[in-house]
Amino acid sequence: MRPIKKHGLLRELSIHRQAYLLALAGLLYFLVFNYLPMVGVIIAFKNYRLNLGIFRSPWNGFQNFRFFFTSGHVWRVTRNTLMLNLLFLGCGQLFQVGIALLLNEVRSSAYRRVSQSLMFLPYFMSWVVVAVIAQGFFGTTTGVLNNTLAALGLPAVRWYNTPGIWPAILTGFTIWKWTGYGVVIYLAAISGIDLEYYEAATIDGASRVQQVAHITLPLLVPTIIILVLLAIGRIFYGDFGMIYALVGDNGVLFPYTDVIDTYVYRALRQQMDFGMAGAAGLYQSVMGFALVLLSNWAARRVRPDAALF
Amino acid sequence: MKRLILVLAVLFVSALAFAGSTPEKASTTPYTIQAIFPGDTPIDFDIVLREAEKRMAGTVNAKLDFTFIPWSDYGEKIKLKFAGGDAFDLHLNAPWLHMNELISQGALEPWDEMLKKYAPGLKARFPPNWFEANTFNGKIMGIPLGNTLGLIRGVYIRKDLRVKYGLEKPDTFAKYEAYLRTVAKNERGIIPLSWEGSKFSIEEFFVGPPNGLVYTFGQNTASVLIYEDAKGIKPILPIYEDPATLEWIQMVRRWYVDGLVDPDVLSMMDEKGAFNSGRLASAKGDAHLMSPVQSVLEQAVKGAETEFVHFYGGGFKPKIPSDFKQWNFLCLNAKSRNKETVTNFIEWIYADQANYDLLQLGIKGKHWVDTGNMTFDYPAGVTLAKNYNFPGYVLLFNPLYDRDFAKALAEELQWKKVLKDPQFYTASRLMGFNANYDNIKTEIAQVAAVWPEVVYPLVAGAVDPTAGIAKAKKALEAAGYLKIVAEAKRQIEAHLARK
Repeated sequence: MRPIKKHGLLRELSIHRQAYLLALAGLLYFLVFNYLPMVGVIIAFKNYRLNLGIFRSPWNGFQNFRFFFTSGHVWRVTRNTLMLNLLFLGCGQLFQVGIALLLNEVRSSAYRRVSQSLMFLPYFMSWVVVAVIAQGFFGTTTGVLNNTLAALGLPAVRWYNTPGIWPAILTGFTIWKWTGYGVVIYLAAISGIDLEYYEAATIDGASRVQQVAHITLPLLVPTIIILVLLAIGRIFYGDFGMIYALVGDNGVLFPYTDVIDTYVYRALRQQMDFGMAGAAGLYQSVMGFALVLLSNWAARRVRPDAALF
Repeated sequence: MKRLILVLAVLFVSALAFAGSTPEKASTTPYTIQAIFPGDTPIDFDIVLREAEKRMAGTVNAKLDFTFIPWSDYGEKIKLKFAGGDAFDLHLNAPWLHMNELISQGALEPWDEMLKKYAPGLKARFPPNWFEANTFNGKIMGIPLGNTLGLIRGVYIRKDLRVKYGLEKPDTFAKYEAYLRTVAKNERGIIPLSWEGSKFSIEEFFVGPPNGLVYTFGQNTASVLIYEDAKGIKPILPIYEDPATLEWIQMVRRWYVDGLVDPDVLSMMDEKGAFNSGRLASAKGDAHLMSPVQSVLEQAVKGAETEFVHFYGGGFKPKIPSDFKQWNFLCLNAKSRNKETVTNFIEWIYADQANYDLLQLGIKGKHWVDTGNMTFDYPAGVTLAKNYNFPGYVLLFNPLYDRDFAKALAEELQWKKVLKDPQFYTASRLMGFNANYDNIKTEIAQVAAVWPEVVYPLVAGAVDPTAGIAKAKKALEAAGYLKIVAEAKRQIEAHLARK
């Protein structure tokens, strides 16, 4: 690329005005829907009152942060949020990449299409529906699993009273729900790989396994890194829809399932205090932002071309 | 750069302008009353609303635009509408939703002035004490909605199962426990007792003091229970020292260990559905709401019968202290653009029994028939599932206008008669008391976050009482629970001193 001469913003705008004009619609969208609302962050520092609105409500310093940070639960819910999301992310990527690679090797296109559709199906199912199905599986007295255990002569397990098992159950459900979605992305990325690499490898006598390990996988890494980086930005946000539907307020399971979002929801759902909820949300955003910067920095050190910025 | 700033400023101002509202136009065009209610839109709702508009013409110049939002989203949607400055007129709210918060944030219009100016006769159309007992800091913040003056709480059991095993109707815990044990032993596939254990406590359905009142200070998940009987208000204690609760914990633990309580009680999502479909042998219940349960149950399980059981002892003394508090309120948005017309509409509902009947029961002859003596029945050949069915508690319930279903269970009708009769009650010392949580917001939030973890498993019998009580005490105190207890004492004392 030719080095660009430095000049003022206005001159730059007028030289490339057509390009900027094209981008205008997109920029406006982000300005209106993503940047303007950020002003609302001040709600975290205000004693928000509905009749006064965001700007006229009185300031109250760090009062709103008190409830969350003095609760003694910050560590547990932050740890659970990170642990569960890392599990979801790690296992999720493993399954998505793995199954995409396997499906790519399948010759019969009919088989491929059918299995892809079947895998995609859970993506459309609401967590509330899944929760009902889960009760059918894990119910203590009438659940499928315990009935199977009983048929095998094994003792029943009180799934809804055993917190330690729930990270695994939740991870299982995320994999079940998201694999089909991820596979589509990775298959698209794989189909973008130049076939000449494979031809060259075949001529050199590389086996299918060697081709996957030395061509497909390395060329997928940039896609994997970008998807992981995007996910890391939201790693401080628990999957509220899923965890609340599946676990609800079953307090026995909290030691392993209580995440920041469920904690804040439980604490504030009857109070309607936008300030305190805003404070907790701000904590999540700031931590998530820091983590994105950190992991982007790490990604750039490993592979400069794969980093987001 | 300056230009860029200018563009930004224009954008910002136009974004703000979107949030502003347009003023109302001339008064000859009918005003559209917008109301938001929880639940599903009743069948034939449009027909009834158009008929109401027709009958109102000349008295109230309005069109009716009522929207139903499913219960699961209702609370959140209402919050959002207020946060967004939406100018709808009426909605259902309640202290157990976020009415107190809306009031303290100035989002609701007091009815006092409106009623005085536009509907001076309205109060007289409700039972005595109806409005006085349901003020918030001395103001009418919502029209109290209810078809009884109080509640009789207890449990539903399956009469058919009880009779099948030759048991008598339980009126003590011992007899009730015998019923649960018999079911557990003989009826595989039926869970003796369950409830939504991570959403509610059930003990008040069992241990509410006979001839007394339990008042909850705080919220469900951060509560201090206040008991009143004929002698007065009992000492106010933390939940883990409350004698009635402690007694309950011991009993329910025994039930849980012996398999009488659903092992998954903390994950139960739909207790009503479970009882109605015959999967439960017992569930919590209200004396005057049996018929709807029975009609679903008997369709699901052939020959099944609902029976209401309470443990208040034989021969009810007909003087219960009541604060005459209603659970649901019709609230007026402070941002409503035509409060006069809205108030006129409310007055119209009670101006004539026929107006009330139209909204509550639908069109006479088509949706219901008058069977005299303030009862109604459905016309021959009408299927309930396809008939107009309006949840009266969201808009208009009033014991003096409410008709009973002619074919309701005899036991239910008896209870309802009692519950609608002011003679049955004495005014509680807590009448007109309003809790104020402004000083304990942080504590309530922190306690609410730990309550489902340490209290609900305990009152469901899922954990050992001794260890569980110690754990609850430690966690609640760490979250500032004692400050809520102290605040409850202070506010109740101040209220009693004012009287």
